[in-house]
Amino acid sequence: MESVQVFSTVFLSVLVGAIPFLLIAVLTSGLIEVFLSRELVERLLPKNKLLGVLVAPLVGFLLPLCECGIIPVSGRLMRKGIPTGVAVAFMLANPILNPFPLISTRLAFPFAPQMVIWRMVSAYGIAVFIGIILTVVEYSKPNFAVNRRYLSGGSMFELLSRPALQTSNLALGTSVNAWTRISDVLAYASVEFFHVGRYFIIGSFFAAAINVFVSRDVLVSIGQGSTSSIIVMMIFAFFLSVCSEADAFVAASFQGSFPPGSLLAFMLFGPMVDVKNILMMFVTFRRNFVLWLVALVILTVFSISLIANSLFF
Amino acid sequence: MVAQSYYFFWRVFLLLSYSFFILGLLLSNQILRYIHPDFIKWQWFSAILLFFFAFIQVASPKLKDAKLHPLVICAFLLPLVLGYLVPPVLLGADAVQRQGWSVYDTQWGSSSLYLDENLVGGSHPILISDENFVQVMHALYQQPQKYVDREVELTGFVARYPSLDFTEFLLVRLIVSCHVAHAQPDGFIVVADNAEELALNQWVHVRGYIEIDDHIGSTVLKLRAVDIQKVPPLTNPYVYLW
Repeated sequence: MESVQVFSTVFLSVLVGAIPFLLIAVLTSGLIEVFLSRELVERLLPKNKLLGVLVAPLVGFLLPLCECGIIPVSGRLMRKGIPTGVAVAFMLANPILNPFPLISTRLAFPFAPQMVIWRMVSAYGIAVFIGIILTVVEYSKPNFAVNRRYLSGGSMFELLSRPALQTSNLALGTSVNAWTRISDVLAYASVEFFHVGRYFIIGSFFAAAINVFVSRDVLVSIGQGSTSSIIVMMIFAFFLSVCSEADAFVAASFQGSFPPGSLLAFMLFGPMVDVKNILMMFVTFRRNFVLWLVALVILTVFSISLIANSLFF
Repeated sequence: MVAQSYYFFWRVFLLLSYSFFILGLLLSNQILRYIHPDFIKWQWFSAILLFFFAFIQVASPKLKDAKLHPLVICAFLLPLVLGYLVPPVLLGADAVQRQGWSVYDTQWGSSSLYLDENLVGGSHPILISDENFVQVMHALYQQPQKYVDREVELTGFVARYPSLDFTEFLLVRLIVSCHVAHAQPDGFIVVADNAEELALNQWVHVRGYIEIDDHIGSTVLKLRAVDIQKVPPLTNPYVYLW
């Protein structure tokens, strides 16, 4: 019974702690859907896509979102015409390149202030690198990323045709009345809450199970060595799904067990890909796109962490 | 054919249930068993917004046809069932078993963070409280040699770790930075003749003198105990980073 209570406490603490940020994300998604037209996006977006990729990772300082909430917002932006490379650069970097994770990283590593610089620069570099690759690919394969239901336009409820919510005769975002618009934003946001919330709950459940039932001694014993410790910490980050505000403290607790590059791998990979947000990615984006994206993130995070382990600290 | 009222009921029921669940945690102060106090204001936002989401299900004609898959209903019910039926526990020694305890690796550089001479300067005993726990621990680890043989007093709970000697136990507090799921254990290894007699999670007030030692390749602070008093558990065992 005690282990059930501990599991329940851990599970609910992850869930309750993250719900406000998930709600902010779905509300943002609703605002984008109702107030941001494709025409406006085309007008505002820099004609130079490379410039967009370079700037997008820094938007987190103005609009910080968590790694769960960022998925629906990025999907919504793509649907509104934001180029894939720009949206993905925004998606990958935002959970790291915003004030809260950077402050917590500084506090978690009081004896290694360079960890903050490494984390910032690496996250920016990875986001820009992958963003550029996707921009190049998009020239030959337009609309290759977003799930078809997301691109179908018209009612957002079409994209929710299964298995979360479905309805057939909606056309939101077309009204001009202020109350109707607010009502549309809330309607979109509430539907999105059910849409992404189910994966968020399932992901939190697995993350809590890993937290409670897998001892870190197992990880430490497997991850001896510079390379294997990077792999172990990336896998750990994926399953543990710590929010990017707190992950630096979890990483810091491995000081002495693993080299710094491996801790960096934990703090880069987790906010970009974890068990919670990958489930959301699979319903927002096409399956092949998600697999390629995850592979790119794995390769880049692994390479940077190896360099960090061998050259610095 | 399932009636639309069935879907409508579940959407409104789930949204209201989440709103009231969070509201209940806030009003009963049980929310502190899950999250850092600084995030409480965000929970008020959640409770209110979820209530509005429920309201919009009723008010917006555009949602009248929206459906909800049974598996989604189950997924959303699971946390509510656990939340209402399984009371939250205060994490303790089990967290140390799972997560180890904080080790500060000072070989990468030095830090001016947290260093408050009023807390650790001079020769007076260092009194560690809930409020200064994080600052003092960081300051001590910044220059461990400087504090050898300084007298320290603090309260914490007893935890154990396989690598410890039978004359040692961990005197631990859990540091919460965001939510309690990822609370990090931090504290001292206490050296005491009666270490084995103390039960796991027993709260004790310890007075002792600082020693430094090497523990599995890292510098750790030890307390050579001169006085150990059993004390009642604190109502809130967590210390907060911010």
